[in-house]
Amino acid sequence: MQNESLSLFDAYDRGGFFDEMLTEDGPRPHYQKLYQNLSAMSHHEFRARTELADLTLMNQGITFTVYGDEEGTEKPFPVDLVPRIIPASEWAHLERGLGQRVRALNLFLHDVYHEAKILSDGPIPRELVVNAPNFRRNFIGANVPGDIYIHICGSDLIRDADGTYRVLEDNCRTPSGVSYMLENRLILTRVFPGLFRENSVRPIDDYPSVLLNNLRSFAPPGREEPNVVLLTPGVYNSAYFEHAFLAQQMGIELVEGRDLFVDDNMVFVKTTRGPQRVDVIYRRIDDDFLDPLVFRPESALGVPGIVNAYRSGNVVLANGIGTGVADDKAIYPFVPDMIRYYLGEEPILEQVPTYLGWRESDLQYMKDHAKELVFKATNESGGYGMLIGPQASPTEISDYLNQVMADPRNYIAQPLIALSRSPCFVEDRFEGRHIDLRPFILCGKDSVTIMPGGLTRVALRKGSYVVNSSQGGGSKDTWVLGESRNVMQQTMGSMTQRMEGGC
Amino acid sequence: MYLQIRHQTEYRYSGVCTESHNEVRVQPFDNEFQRLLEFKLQTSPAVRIYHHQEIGGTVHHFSIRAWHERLVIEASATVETLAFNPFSRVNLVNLDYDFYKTEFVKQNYAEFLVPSLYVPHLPEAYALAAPFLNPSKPAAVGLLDLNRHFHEWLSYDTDATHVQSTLPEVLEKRAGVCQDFAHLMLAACRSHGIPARYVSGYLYIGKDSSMRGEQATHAWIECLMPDGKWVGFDPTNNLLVNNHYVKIHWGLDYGDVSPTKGVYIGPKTESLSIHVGIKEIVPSEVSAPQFTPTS
Repeated sequence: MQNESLSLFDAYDRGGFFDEMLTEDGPRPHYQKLYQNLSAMSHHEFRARTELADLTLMNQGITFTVYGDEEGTEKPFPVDLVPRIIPASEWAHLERGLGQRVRALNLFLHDVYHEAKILSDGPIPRELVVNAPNFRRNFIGANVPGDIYIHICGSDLIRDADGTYRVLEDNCRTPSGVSYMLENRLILTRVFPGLFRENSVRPIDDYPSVLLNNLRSFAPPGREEPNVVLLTPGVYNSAYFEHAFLAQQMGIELVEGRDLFVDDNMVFVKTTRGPQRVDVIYRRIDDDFLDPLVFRPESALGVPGIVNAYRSGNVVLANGIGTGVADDKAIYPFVPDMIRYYLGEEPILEQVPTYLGWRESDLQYMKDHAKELVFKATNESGGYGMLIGPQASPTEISDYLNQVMADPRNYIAQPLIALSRSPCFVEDRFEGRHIDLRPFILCGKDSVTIMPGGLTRVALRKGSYVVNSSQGGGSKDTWVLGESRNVMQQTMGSMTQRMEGGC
Repeated sequence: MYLQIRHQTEYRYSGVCTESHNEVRVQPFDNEFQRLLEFKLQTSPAVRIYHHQEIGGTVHHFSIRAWHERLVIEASATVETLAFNPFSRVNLVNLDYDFYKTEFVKQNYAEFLVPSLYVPHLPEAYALAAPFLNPSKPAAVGLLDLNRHFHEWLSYDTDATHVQSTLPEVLEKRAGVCQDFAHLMLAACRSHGIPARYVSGYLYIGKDSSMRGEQATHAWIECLMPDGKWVGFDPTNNLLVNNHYVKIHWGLDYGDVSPTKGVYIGPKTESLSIHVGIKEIVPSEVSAPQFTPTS
């Protein structure tokens, strides 16, 4: 069947989905050059590049831990080498929409931990907020620098059957994946240097420096040379690789709870030169495990006393405490209301219609239409606690519905969105696979920076809609094209490639 | 009434403790029922103490890094409690129970209606309260009845339970201390849709030895009344809260208000002793600056 002269795109089936690259009439304009390049490649050639990429991944130790998998702690995180391309005008729309969204989310957090006007004025039911599992009642009245709670946000975008971008969820606690965004770019510049010569891809390599500058800007007043550290739960955490990678890229200490201590309401790191004061902590530990004095007493991962030091303004935590109420899936349907309420603007980005188990009429609908809906637990992440109705057996559905009925507030349901697809290299040719996009949004004191790109996640299993890396997904490099085609540089770590735009 | 309160907590360890971090919730409120005239908190080993306001009251916190085998936390307060007739604050006549069925209550007091860490939803607590809490009489009458009922139904026994005891254990033993009385009544009120919260504080007994709760901090509950006010009920003593009560902190349950809590590095705690002493004083004994002359 396989013939050397065939293009990798032969027999490519769009399967009735919105395809990122191809339409009935051939490639979309922003994919034109990539398409020509890939069409001219044999599967042997593409495979050789894939092997080079795998080798790079292996050598770099880029892994992700899949919980509940018995084969071992770490797995390589598969990269598909066909990049996902977003044209400049589309990106400009996303950038405006995401900026609007994160501004509203930060205003929401400030409000619910202070006057809670949005709850008394009506747009959001108070009950949903104050009884949300991640609402931190005891932080009502606590202030944070610049009123910024979410310093780093990873919002998940999907495209539906018409190609409309929709926000699926926001990750306001400790979003992960940015290291894969950076590494995927590194791999592509190594494996396909020529492609960058032909497309004016906007660089993303300044992510670590933008983040570090932001974090430093939040330091307590009077701290001239703020000391920033990254706090990890340790090597058993699924994103440990990312913690180590980011700390190294930012040139800051990677610490665990036992490396820090609190004295006189300030945080110090133990070093070979003695204790040093810590000003800002990029923490990748959830609230619950941060401080045994305030949260779970049995947690050994955190630092006793750190939360009171934070509350006193002597150390800054990024993200802040209590942000989980903003990405609770039962609060998500109200984000458009937040945007209208705080900013007086119409939401720029669409969302996905959502049924709340909390609302009786929705709950009835969820029961009656379970077979058509995707169910999610409101405070799980990483694709855990989900049920995809159309792909589930009747027993799975009834078991799941029993859980929903026992605690309706903690479940939502959404129609199954026919996620857009992108060509992926499977065995010896391209096949369409469903994808999403997690852009990374950085909030400074007065500015929002959105890295032009993000992590495009791929549901590698044929027909699967679950893109989470913890569910065996993979990823792609994401190219945001510049408006003009000037000379540009792609810099990654120690390697620099100079590329000419245009012809 | 002027009350002078001395509250001492002492931990003794079976060896050296190298590090200790603590939160203390012992500062009485300054509000319309009680004036806080003086408050002092100190520790041994001595260390700088910080504080902030939580919605439920004041929190003091400190870290000790000096080696120690014993930690003493000593609070002293002078409080003037204002005399009032607690029955003047509740309606005993008009039927007002339907207030609890409104969307207003469900939204604005949502956190006081759901189970909390120490107060799970228990059908048995609901059933115990069902004869008392219903629309056929004013809410306050039902709550007073329930207050009396729990006072009789549970026996006061300082050996029956400990700090970590769960409410199902309390129901099984039908015995407990003020914390258990309060948690049980919270469970009953919440399951019937009456917003209720936990209060920690001191109870001045005077010479009346039949009352319970002076040896340590006391606990009672506050219920939201149909006029929108919180009123204190003490099921341990079958009383409506009056000027013998000094309020320190409120929360959803004991977990939000524990007077002292800490984590430390060191050997196990050999002993914990708590002493609370309350005495009534005359105004001339008050050393606080409420008599500061104005210029």
